[in-house]
Amino acid sequence: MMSPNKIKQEEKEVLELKEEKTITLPNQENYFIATQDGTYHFTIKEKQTIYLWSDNYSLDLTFQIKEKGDLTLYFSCLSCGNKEEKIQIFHETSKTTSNIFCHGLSLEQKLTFTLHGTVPKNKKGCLCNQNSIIHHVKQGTGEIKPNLYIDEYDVIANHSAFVGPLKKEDIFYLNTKGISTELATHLLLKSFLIGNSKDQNYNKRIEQRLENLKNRR
Amino acid sequence: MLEIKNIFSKTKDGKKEILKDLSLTIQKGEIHAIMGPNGVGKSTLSKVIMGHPSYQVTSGTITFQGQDLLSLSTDERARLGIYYIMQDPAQIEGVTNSECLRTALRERTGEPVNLYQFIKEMNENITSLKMDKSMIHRSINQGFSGGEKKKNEVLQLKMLKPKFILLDELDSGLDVDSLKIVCQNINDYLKENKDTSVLMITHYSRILDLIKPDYVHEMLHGTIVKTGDITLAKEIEKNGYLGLDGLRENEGSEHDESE
Repeated sequence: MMSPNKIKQEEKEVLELKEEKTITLPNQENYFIATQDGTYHFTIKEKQTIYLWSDNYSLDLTFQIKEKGDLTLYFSCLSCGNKEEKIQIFHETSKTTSNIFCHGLSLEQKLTFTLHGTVPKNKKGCLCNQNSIIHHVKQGTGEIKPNLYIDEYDVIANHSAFVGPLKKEDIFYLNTKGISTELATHLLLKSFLIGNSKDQNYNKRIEQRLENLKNRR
Repeated sequence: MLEIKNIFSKTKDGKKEILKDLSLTIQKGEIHAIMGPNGVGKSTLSKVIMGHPSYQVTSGTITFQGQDLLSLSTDERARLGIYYIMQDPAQIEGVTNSECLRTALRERTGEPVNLYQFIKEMNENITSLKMDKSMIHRSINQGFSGGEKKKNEVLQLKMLKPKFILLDELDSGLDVDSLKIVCQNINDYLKENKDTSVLMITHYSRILDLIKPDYVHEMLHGTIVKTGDITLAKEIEKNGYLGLDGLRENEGSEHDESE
């Protein structure tokens, strides 16, 4: 088992995901930034929240949920090429929970989310939820493959998926306040990718990336 | 201030003509109300004034303080001083009210917002609207009740200080107490800004007891068919829109105004 590299120690630690490895989660609330393509394994044994930002990398993430495992994952990514983000959830103990929120922004070519949620037989009382959204701008496209492999009756499992542009009504609303479409798009994408993260270091990385995009436009 | 001349407007796909030869002139400081049954194009008119992307203007002109509105984008129209309160304002997850307002103010002036002044003014307006202070840090209209949404829109109005206010069914989704608070705040704003004009769109005359119009217009089949003062509103309240014949004629021309 290896610990991920630390990027900064101000506020909460934002940890760098690089090299193939098994990740130990240091906190109840954990912030990660991927810095290369890779395969990562996480074991969740208690209530833990993960914020993970991937800037144009293809990741293969596996979460084994055991004991009193209760995972909330906020995965955000930006893609400028053909990228696939694969997330696999295995509920290995009864009464474990997974809530997965995947938000992707596809700028060019195709971004694919492949999600697998697995609850084997006799793992009773599990909660397995997936919610995925890909917004595409410019030439980008997206595809979401949500898969739930449930071999037990006593389970709550849901998935929702949306691929499309930002809502025109939201942009129009911000326009009516005098905010230009470019800035309205920036505000909406920022909120979409940062979500409810409260960590300044993590948020700044995403904001900076979007700022660069805005300047390029 | 606002001059609409012989406007014809269709849905973006060109399939449905909604506004038909509509003309209206609103001078500085005037309050106008447009009344009409469902589906006659009242909300479409407000959206056309704001440049909503679902509608196209096929002929006619709209000018605001002498400037051609139809050649401007929605945000440019708003920055000219037109403020639009939608019937059902959007809910935007993740963008806070404070962030939206500060961005809107910065877009108007091109200068960074003076945070002390902003917070001071915001707190005064929040108090006068009897709002919870925490709402300013919440996502725009997310999880707000009907009353909270409209109060939030009026809060933004008071911060952005428009010259022209478009109110699309302000009373929809509002309880009696909230309606009074919201209207009181708009009246206070109008008292302080005497040149500001208002165009109200409503089904019912009850709101006209709270924000008193100088002119009332009756709208049917995509155009204004009658103009009068507050007595016209009372007459409509009593007799309905142009009597039963008018309504019968209107049947079959309904379209989804919330589109």
